[in-house]
Amino acid sequence: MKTPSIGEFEELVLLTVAAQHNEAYGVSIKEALEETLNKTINISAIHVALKRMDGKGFVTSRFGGITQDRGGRRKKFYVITAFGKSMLDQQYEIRTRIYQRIPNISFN
Amino acid sequence: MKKGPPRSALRFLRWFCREDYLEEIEGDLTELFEKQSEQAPGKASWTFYGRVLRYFRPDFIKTFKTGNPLQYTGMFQHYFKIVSRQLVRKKTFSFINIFGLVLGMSAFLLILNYVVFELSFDKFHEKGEHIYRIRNDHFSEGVFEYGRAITYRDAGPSLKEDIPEVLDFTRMNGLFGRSLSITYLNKGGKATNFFEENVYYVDDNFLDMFSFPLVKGDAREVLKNTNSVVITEKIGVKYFGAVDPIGKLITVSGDQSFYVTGVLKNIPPNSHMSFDFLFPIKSLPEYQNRFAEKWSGSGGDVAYTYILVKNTVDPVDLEKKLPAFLEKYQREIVADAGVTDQFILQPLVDIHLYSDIGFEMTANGNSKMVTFLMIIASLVLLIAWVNYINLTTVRATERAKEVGIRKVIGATKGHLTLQFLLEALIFNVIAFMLSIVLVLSLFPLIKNYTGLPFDFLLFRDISPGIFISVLLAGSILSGLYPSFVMSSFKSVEILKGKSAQKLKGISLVRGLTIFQYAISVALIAGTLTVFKQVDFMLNRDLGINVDQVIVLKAPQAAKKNYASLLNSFRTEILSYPDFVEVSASSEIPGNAFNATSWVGQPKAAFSEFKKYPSAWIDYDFLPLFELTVLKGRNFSKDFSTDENAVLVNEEFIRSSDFLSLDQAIGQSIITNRGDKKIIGVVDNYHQVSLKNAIEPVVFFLNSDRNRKYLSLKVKTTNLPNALNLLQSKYEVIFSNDPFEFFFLDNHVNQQYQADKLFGKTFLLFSLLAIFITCMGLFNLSYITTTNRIKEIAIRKIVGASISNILFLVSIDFIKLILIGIFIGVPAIWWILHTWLSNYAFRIELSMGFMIAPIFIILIIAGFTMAYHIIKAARSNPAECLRNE
Repeated sequence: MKTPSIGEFEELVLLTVAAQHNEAYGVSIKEALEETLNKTINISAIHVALKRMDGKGFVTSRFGGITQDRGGRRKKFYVITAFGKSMLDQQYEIRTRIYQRIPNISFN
Repeated sequence: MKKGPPRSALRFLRWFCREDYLEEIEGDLTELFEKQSEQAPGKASWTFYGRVLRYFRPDFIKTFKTGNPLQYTGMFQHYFKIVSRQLVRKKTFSFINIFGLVLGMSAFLLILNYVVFELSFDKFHEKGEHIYRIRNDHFSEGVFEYGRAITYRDAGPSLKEDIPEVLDFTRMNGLFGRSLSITYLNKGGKATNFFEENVYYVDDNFLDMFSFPLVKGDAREVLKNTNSVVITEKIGVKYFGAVDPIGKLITVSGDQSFYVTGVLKNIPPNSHMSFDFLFPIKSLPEYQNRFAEKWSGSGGDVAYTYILVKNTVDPVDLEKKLPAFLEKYQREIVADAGVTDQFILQPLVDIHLYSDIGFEMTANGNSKMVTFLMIIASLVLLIAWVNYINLTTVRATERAKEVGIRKVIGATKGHLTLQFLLEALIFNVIAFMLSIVLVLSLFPLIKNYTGLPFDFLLFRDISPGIFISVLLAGSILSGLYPSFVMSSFKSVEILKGKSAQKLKGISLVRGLTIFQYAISVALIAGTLTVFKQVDFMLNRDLGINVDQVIVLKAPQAAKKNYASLLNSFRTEILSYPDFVEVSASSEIPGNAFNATSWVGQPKAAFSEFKKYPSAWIDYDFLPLFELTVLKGRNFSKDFSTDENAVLVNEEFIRSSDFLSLDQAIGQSIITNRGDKKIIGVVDNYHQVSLKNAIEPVVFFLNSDRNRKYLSLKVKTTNLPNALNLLQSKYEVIFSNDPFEFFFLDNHVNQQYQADKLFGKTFLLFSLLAIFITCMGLFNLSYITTTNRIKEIAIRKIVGASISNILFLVSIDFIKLILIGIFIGVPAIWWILHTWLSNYAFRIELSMGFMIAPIFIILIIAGFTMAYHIIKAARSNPAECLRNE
């Protein structure tokens, strides 16, 4: 089977899921990303990314409890899987390795 | 109270969103909405709508109804499996059902092919859409006389000059029944002779206007020179074999030389004009000058004229200009005699099916015949479909349990309808494939049998889409009713064990059976009548004896001394006992009269003259054909004045307003061929097919015109010998002319070829219809007896005899058949009556023609039913009553 790949936006979402360990759900991810990236993000885009990563096995999900907020709808919390984490590690390592190969460039 | 997100947006989201995602998405959206509405309440709703819309994408939309596609392919697989099991388990039933459909479809496909062929006539001409033939209608004193496919030889050029919409014209001048003696040097350098009839003289743009492809030569150039000739590939091979015919010399009538400049591909069978030779029209002296003759019906109308009009021209508008055009050229004649013509434009592509006027180039098709065949073929197909409906509906009770179980498991009416429609489709598709195989393998045979020149065009001219839609329509038509019947069973009752449910939908089955028998009886009656009529025409006393007559095509090459050569030939040949009589004439029975003469009484005004068919005969014509002279006498060598005498037939006397049978002899008449005296009245005889009424005829004595046919009465026991003798004598005396002969009785009977074919087609279709209908009845009686097997058993126990039971069960069917007969008989009576009225001489339609088919139907149906009913009636009642 082909090893699943990860897109740029998906990676950002996955990073956020990992960062907010056990407490990440649609709205919280949106807010965290908007804060970090300093731009508006569509909630639907986040949902798409989450569903796709769920399909690839990078995240799993569970429902939270019922509250008065959210029109009585449960939150769906996402947790990074070990597979997802290893993917992140690999991405990080690749980037760092390549980054370290950059010679000292002077831009004068 | 906290304001919730807009309801309509939520409803929309809930409608399209996947159920497993819905809670999360709805929750997140609501949370965002709540947060936003604290800051900007007005904007929040709009944003919510926007966000909801963004979820309307494939990732989130649920699969509607069709649900999981796997489940449905599974269902279809299951249906297929059930159908294939049904096919195998009920072999007779399936076989009869499919076989009926195969027969119906094959007949339909074959006829469809014929129809497609008939419709394809003259469609291959690139400019065909804008080409019209001039039809020339002749009127005298305002009364329509006749329409002809030929018109005045100057009409073409004048039309082009006077009417700007006419871009071009081309003319064809035929031989009108004559034949041309063509001589050429064969491979060995020996002069060889053929008579050719398929010859036309055409304008040099002929091949430019019509798209007859040339194998050799340039379409625009080949006919430019007056000594050029274009031949077909067929003739090229016949004359020159493998040698290239271009540049070869051929000699016409012994003295005109032509060089082959072009070779045409053989003329396709779907062309209304057919020819082997094209000579330049300018090689005919009468086409070298314009306006040589007046434009009137008394002559000069000899050219088939085709015009090419501008793309944008509406033929109706163009036609309106023609009366003024004709007026210009005919004014003089109109003033003289009240003779007027009318030009009508016939679209090239319509000529084959819709034109039936004088001087057609080839026997045309008949649009009515095409429609009629199409109707019959559709009826047979319909009968086959009706069989399917009947058999499947009646068998429904057998499958009641299956339906019951399906319903309990959860099948809806829709599912069941789909299942049975699919079954119908599978039956139809199997039948269709088999019938294509059948048609393809039978096609060469059928082509031979009918002698029609068409090719297999179905898959070339009809798009597969049409086949598929007809097949689908047929499947739905034949499957819908049974599937309704079956899906409407009440599952609870079935499963409770009320197995002998009342036969549902039986009234439609009854109706359809009546319909089948109505058609069958009509087709049988039709077949009988057509055969009777053909038989009548073949065996009727024609008033003329055509048996034992050999006809030679009269020599053409001998010109000046023709009369003396003919005389020595006659003397020579009559010296042998095998030959009894020799006669030279311009016409022979079996051919319509080609020439006409104007005849009037002395001192008649010009307008009182009438046109009569005319023949030129010699002294021996009447005795040879055993024609009776009613009054007066035959031409005789004892009267030198007979050169100025004529014979007329009885019909001539009857149709003339100044003659009576008693006073006709010795009467003078004025003709455009001189003043003549009537010396005899000949009994009427049938010159042409009995389809036509007997025409009035004037017989003239010897003239150059009687050199078309030589008839010889033979009286011999050794025909080949006599023919050899004849040929050797002929070739000695007419050394420059080919020897070609035919037997007159064959020639006369050939006129009924089309009628015989019609009869054969009718026979074939009625056999098919009866066969399919009876196969249906065979199964129907089987199913009915199985359904009533217990009833039959009980009746037997209480003492019913086999004949009682036979009567009891079959009476139901007999009733239906009788009703069918009572519908079919009046319908066919009316149709046959109309058909027979096409024939001037016809059989009388009597009740006898209807009674025979009724008995045929009843007997066939009786035997068909008897098999199963007797089988059931003879079975041991204990067998079937045991397992209650």
